[in-house]
Amino acid sequence: MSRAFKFGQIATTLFGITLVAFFLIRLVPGDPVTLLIGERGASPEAIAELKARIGLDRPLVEQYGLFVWNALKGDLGVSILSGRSVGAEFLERLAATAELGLTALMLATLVGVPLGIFAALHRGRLFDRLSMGLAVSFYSMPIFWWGLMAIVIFSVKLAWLPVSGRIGVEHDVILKSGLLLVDSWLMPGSLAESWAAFKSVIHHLLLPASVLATVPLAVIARMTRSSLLEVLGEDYVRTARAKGLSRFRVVALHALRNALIPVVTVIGLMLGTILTGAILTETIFSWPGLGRWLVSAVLSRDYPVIQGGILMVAVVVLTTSLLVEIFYYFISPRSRGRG
Amino acid sequence: MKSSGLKPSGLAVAIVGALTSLLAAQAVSASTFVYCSEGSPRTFNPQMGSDGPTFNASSRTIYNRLVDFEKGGTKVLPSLAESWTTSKDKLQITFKLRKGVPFHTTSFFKPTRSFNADDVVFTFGRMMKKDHPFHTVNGGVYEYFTSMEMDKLVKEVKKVDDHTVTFVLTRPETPFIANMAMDFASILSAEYGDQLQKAKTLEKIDLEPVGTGPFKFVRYEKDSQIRFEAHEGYFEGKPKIERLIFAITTDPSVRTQKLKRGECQFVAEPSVLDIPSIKKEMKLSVIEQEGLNVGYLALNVEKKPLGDRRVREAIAKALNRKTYLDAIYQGQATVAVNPIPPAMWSYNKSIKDIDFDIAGAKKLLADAGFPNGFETTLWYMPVSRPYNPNAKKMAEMMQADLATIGIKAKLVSYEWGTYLDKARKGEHDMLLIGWTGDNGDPDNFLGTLLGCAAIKGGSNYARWCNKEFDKLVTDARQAPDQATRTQLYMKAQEVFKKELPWVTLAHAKAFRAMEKRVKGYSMSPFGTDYFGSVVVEKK
Amino acid sequence: MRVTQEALRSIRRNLGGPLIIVAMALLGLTTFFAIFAPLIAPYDPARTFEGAYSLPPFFLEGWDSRFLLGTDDVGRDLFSRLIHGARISLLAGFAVTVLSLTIGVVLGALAGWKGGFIEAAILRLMDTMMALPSILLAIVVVTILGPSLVNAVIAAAVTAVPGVVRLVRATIREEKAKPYSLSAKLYGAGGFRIVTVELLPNSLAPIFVQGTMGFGEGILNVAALGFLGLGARPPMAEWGTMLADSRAYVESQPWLVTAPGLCILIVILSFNLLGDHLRDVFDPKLKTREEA
Repeated sequence: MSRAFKFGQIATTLFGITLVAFFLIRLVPGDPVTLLIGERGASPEAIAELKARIGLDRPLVEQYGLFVWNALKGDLGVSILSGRSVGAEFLERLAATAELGLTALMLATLVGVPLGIFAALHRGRLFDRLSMGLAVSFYSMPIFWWGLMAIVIFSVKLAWLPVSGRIGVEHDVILKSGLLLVDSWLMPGSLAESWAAFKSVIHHLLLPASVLATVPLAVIARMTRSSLLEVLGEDYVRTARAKGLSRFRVVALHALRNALIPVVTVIGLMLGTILTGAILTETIFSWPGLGRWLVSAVLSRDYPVIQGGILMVAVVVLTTSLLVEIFYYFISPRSRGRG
Repeated sequence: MKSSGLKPSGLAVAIVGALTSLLAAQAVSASTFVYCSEGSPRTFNPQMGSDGPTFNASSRTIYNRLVDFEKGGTKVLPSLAESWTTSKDKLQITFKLRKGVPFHTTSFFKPTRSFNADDVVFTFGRMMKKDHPFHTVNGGVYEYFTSMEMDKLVKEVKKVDDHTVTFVLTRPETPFIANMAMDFASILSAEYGDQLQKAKTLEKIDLEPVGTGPFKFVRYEKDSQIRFEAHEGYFEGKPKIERLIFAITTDPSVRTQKLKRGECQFVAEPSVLDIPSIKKEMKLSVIEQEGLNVGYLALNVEKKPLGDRRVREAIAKALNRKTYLDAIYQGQATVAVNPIPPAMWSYNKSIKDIDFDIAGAKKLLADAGFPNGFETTLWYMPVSRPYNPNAKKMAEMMQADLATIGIKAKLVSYEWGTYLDKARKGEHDMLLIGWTGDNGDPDNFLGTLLGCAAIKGGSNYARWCNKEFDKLVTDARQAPDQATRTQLYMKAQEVFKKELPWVTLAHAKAFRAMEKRVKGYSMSPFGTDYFGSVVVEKK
Repeated sequence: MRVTQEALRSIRRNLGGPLIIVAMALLGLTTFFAIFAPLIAPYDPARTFEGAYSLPPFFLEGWDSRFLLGTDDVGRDLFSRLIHGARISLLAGFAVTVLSLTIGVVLGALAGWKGGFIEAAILRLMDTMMALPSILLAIVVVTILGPSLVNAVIAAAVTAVPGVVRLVRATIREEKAKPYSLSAKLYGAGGFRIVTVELLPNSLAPIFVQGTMGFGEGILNVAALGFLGLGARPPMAEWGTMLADSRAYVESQPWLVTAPGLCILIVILSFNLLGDHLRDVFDPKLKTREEA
């Protein structure tokens, strides 16, 4: 597949996304003005006037054209509810979700990969069965329930971890990069204060990140195991063993390197899962990230946020999968051969 | 499952254990006050909001109005205006403004003059005049101003001199002064407006607000926190709280958990379920107040057979409302008899409530020609409101009650925006809804929710237009003195109870929970929170 | 006779470890509960008992012997609701699977067989759907259609379609290149006939495995929508909705939250174990499925 063709595909998909994001939400009954006014009510003329002011009175096609044209220019418009630029809000939210999602992915990798390796090396034995049983349970976990239980156990009953939020409010950290793990070091004040703020951030991250890591951890562990088993069965590994190399050397030097390629790919492609999980996790932990932002925008019909937000989420997802493909292309001799 | 499920978190827990011990030393200093608020404000301009979180973060902290409600009450007192006079024809109201009231000095604005008449003209001009430079900024949706039809009532806002302003009205309107105490009438700075116009950053007026109120805006992170600091030049005296932080926490049980853990000192609207457990804690206290609200079941009189008064009465008799109070409000509410709450003036105490009476209900239904009942729909709100914390549960209980007299009610709900949209168009049969008053005037209930004009506006969910009732309410709106108005409203309540366009359900109590060392707070009947007078005693 | 014996032997051979037996048993039990719910459940799941609000289950003090697992905040029997919940969840999972497989197989077969513009159009549409977090897509679909169990099922099915389409298209293409389909073409069989008679039956194994896994996922997604308040309408006893309704009681009456959550977990776990096993049996080559 040529590169130009690939980019053509992505462009078509993005175009599809703008259509979906724009028209789907307009099929939803009710509009932002109705929601703004609430139980109170207003005369039809007043409502019509308010709609005109936000530009909702224009023909749909014209509104759509304007949206795409402005988006091409890099302008995603302004949120009807908050009056802030959608682009700026997106970046803020992306940072919060990234902090949570990447921490979760890291946890999942750090636990999942070793678990998968050990399971593969002890294939068929008790450890393998137990860990794979654990993995399939994690994989089946309804995380909205798991999150609630985790809060009750670790925050309420044991009082080990904070209930919700990203940082203790006593720390006066100003958002710069949006990643509090970084921003805590950029805050005014002493190094000790920064350290305290940093600890508070970690403290707040642990529970939601662990909950979010549940499903990816299971996937990574299972993938690592099956990939390693496959490689261990291949000729060159058997040859190496036959040459008298120790089992440890064979696994560590030869098998693992090749076995981890698909694992890394899977980790990269896990973004969709992470975002889906983030929507539920953010709801439960009051995490001010992308998921909550988009869901509340859908519920309040904040059209610019929905359109712009969905488009940007798609851009992030597509970019990541493209990067993963490129990575895979360079790292895997097989896929290059097939080209 | 339990033991295996803990595995990855087990690792986390070990790390956390170490961190917890280190973190415990970090205490919030006494002059910092953390308020666990209900949600993100929609804007920092109360002209454009209608929800509690917006008012708490703007009109109650950053701004003042010409007149204001007394703390914890509904009486109108002078504020930025020291006095006011009404002309003979009741069409001109003149306010004398307070002198020497400073606006906030912040990192983004340094005022050169005190508050004056220009600010008043600017504030109302933004909402009234279509050609005002700020009129369309940030969407330009002035909810209250529009829905109260202030644009039709106020003809002009005239500056007489630097400290005198006259409002010219198109018709006499007695509640007008009380309206000026409402959040949407908060006074913005004209000088700040000029600065923004020069900088061509008009949108900042609602994002980086400047007012005369007790606290200055510092920083806002949506869905996370808002930070304020004390306004040293506040005309009622500098607040005792130096740093005010709103920790935005949408889940009520999480708010309570944070209060118990000392992560905040004050909690808005704790869940009624948590009240007993908060009361048990030594260092915490709960205050409660009769809310200025009503939860009701609107019976759409345009739909058959709800147009028949006897059917409406049968429904009212069949609903065992006392059981709802226990199950849904945990007993923290009173059964509503009238559409206005008992705390409001002109409340008619002599009206007798409809009693729970299955036999009577069956008889009425039979008289109306439905001995075996009928099929209908019962709509319930998808959201929790103070006047009805769990409409879904209530609908389920009502459904069971109505079944006893043969009425088969199908439960219907939509997501909130759709619900309001469809209800406004009158697509429902029976509709659970309610109202929280916003200016302490009976017209705010009787006129807004039951007047004939409100059918078109959409807030008359019973779609009930009764000539007699409507005339009483319209007359009362223009009557000169409170005694006459009281009489008219009392009569209107009698008409209401005779016709029963609603089944009145409950007036819910409102709650606030806080650390005992928080002093000087008084609850507003409007459900907003004011911290200008609050003191936090040292531990 | 011999055929059945052979079949039995092969079943025994393929039954796998004790885990599969447990999973099958649990699924059997759930199905039994689901089918005979009205007979097994002591009460109507919507019946409210006045005064019997929030009673604890049998292992706690204050238990009322009428209610094995206690009652919820409006006085409904939790045990009866859980049993009826099995019915709703299994039905929902089944409906999601059938719906997504039907749409997915038709689109996937079309794309795989026709190729060209049709294939490109279908694939781009699927890409578009997959570029969105699935739950977000489901939320939008439900807000358009209005929240109800049926619409939650539709939404969950819609999000499951792209996975099926890709799988079916890939297997069809693989089968298409094989000699038997080429010869069928040579003998002048029509496209529709080849796809339905030759290709699809040969692609059944992976579709079947996908279906089993999709069953669990369907239940999970319907429950998640219920949890977000966009699923089943009251007084229907759906597990996810029950969970959401009792969120406020997670501290004071944790069993109200624990029980429906455990039910969801157990059923999905059983389906996934079964799906894993079926995949090993039908096609050892198939890899662990990556995407949720």
